[in-house]
Amino acid sequence: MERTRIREKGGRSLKITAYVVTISFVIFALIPILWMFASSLKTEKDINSYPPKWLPTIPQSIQVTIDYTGMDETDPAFYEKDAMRAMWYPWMKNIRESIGDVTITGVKDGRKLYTAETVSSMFFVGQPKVVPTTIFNDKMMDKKLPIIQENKLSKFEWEGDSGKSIAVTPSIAESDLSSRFSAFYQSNELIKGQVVAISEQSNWVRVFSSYMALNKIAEDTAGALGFAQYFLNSAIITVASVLVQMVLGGLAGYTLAHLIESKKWKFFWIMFFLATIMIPDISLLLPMYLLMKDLGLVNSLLAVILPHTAWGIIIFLFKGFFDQVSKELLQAARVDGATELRTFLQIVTPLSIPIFTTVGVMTFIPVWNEFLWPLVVNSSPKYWTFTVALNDLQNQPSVLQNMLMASAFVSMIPLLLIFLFSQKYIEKGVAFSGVKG
Amino acid sequence: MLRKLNIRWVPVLFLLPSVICYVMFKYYPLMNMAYISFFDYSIVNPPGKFIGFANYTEFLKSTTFWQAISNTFIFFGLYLVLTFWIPIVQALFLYDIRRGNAFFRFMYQLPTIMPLVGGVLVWKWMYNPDFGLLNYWLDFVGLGPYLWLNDATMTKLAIVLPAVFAGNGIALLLYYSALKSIPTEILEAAKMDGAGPWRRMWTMLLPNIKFIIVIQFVAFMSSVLLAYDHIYIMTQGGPAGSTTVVSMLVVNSAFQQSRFGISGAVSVFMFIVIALLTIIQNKISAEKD
Repeated sequence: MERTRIREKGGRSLKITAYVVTISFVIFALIPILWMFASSLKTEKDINSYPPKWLPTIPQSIQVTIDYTGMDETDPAFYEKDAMRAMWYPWMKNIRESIGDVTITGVKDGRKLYTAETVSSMFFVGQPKVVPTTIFNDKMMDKKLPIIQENKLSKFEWEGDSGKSIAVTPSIAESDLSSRFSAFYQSNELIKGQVVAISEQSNWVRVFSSYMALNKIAEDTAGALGFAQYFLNSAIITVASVLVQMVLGGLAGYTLAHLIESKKWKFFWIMFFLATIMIPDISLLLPMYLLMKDLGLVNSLLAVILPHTAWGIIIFLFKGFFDQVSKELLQAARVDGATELRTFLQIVTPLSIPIFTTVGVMTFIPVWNEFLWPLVVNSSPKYWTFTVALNDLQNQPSVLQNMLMASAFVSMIPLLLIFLFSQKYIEKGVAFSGVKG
Repeated sequence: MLRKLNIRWVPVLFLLPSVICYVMFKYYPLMNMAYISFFDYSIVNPPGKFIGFANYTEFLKSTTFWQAISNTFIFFGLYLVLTFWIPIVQALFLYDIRRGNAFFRFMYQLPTIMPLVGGVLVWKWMYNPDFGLLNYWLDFVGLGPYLWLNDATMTKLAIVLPAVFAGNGIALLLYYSALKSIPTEILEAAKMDGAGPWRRMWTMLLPNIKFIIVIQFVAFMSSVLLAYDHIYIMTQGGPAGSTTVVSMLVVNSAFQQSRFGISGAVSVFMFIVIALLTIIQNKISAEKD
C-alpha cells in the first residue's frame, strides 16, 4: 500500500538540520571525555609526544636473566640489591620509553636463585624517591632498598638452594629497548652477576598502570583504602545529607501543607524557610567555618553534612507536593485514631514516592560534586572528599598527566552508573523543580 | 481539651528539627557575617576592634575589588555570548528528533555527570602549550600556539571554553520539558494555517519557552557571579589577577590574608546582590502564575 502521509514542505530540511546540529553538539561534548580516557591509558612517552596521539602504545615487558655462577656470596640481601639495581637503574635511564614491567631471574649453577619484578605503576610512584637522577653508584642501593621494601615497590622472591633447575640460553632480543638495556649493563660494573639473556613482549594489561599508580599514591596519603577512601567519604556525606534532607524536609513540608491552621503562621514559616534561598553559600563560608571551629567539627565528615540540612528549596518542593494530598484522606486516618506521625509515615509517605525520588536525585549531584566547602573545612586527607583529593593530585609534582586523567575518569563512574539507572527520575525531577522555580 | 493540646504540639515537634538547622546553619552565620564585617576581626581574641564601616570603605576603594568586578562582567559577557544560547538551540532541535531522542538526552547529560574538578583537569591538559590537543588543532588553521593559562588575554576565554563544549545539561532538560508541555493542538492549528516547520519553531516553540528563558537568564546571572570552583582549580585567579572574581575575594581575604573583617564585608556585598537577583527571579515566576 502506498503511503498516504503528506510530506510537509520544510519538514525534511528541519529534520536533517536537527540531526546534524544535535550530533555535532554531542561530538563536541564527547571530545574532552574521550581525550581524558585516551590519556589515562597512555604511557609516559605517549603523554609527552607531539603530535598528540589518541591510541596508547602497548607497554613492553622485559625479562632479564642474570647468572651468578661462581659467586660465593650467600646473603639474600646481596642478591636483592643486585636485582633492584638491574631493574631500577636501566629503567630510569630509559624513563621515556614505554616499559610495562621488568622481571629479573637470578640463576646460579643452573638453578633458579630468585625472581624479582617491578611494574610500571610502582616504578613511577617510587621513582622520585628511589632513582631521582640518572647518576648511579654501588652504595646508593644500600639506602634505597629500605624505601623499596617499605613501600612494596618491587617484588623479590628468594628461592636459594631449593630453586628449580632451569636451562638458560644466552640471547638478547633484537629490539631497540632490549639493546638499550643490554648496553647499560655492559657500560658499567654496577651489576655483580652476568647478564645472559634479555627478552621482551608487549603486555597490554599495563596500559592501566596509571590507575594502579593513582591508588598507590592515595594509599600514602589517605591510608589503606587508597583512592576508595575518598569515594567512601563522598558517599557517606552524600547519602547522609540526602537522607537528612528527606526526613527533615518531608516532616517540615508536611507540617506547612497540612498541620498549621493559622494563615498568618503558615505564611511566616514559609517565608522563614524560603528566604534562605537568597543566601549564597559563598557568603556563609567564613561564618560557617568559624561556627564549625567553635563546635569542634573542623576535620570531620559531619562538618560537610550539617550545612546540607538547611536547603530552603527542599521544604518548598515537599510542601508543593503535599498540598495535592487530599485533606479528606488525612481526616479519615485521624478519625481512625492514627497519630500524626503514623498518618505521615503510613499514608502520606507511600503516596509521595515521586517527590522523595525527585528530591533524592536533585540533591545527590550537587552534594556529590561539592568542592569549596569540603576543601576549606577539612584539611586532613582522611576526611577529604574525592573532589578535594583530585584537586590535591594536580598540585603534586610526582603525579603525571596520565594519572590525573585516570583520576578524572574514575571520578566520573559513580554518577554515570546512577544516571544510567535513573535517567527517567532525574529528568522528571528537573522538570518538576524547574516549573516550581 | 487534651486533644486540642495534642494537635498543637505535633506541628511544633515536626518543625523543630528544621527550624534548629536553619537557625544554626543559615540565620546565625548570616548574622555573624554581618557582625564580623564591622570589626577588625581577630580570630585569637574575637571579635577584635570595632571599626564601623571601615572594612566596607577599604574594599570599595581597593583596586583588586574593582578588577574583580570588571573580570566578573567580562566573564558574564563571554558566558552570555558563547554559552547561554546553547541549551536553547539544543532543545529546539531535540524537539524534532524522534529516533534516538533518549540517547541524545543522555549524551547531553554526560558533561554534567562529569565532576567539575575532573572536567577542569582534562581541560588543563588540553591547554598544555607543548603537548595539548588544542594548540595542535589550532595549528591546522594557522593559529597559535597560545599559552592558554599563562597569558592574561587568553585566560578568561580559557575558563569559558569548556562550557561551550559541555553545554548545560540541566538547562537543556528544562527547556526540553517546557517544549514538550506545549499543547499539540496549538501546533496543529498553526500547521493548518500553513505555517511550515521552521516557521513554527520561530513563532510557536520559541515564544512558548520565553518565560523559562527569562528565569534561566536570572539564574544564569547569579551563577556567573557565584562562579568559583572551576576558576580556582583552573587558574587560582591568576595570572596577575586576570581571572580573580568577587567570590574569590571572600575566600582569599579570609583564608590567605586572615582579613576576616574584609571577607565579611565582601560576603555582605555578595549576599545583597544575590538576594536582589533571587527576588527578581521569584517576582517573574509569580507573575507567570
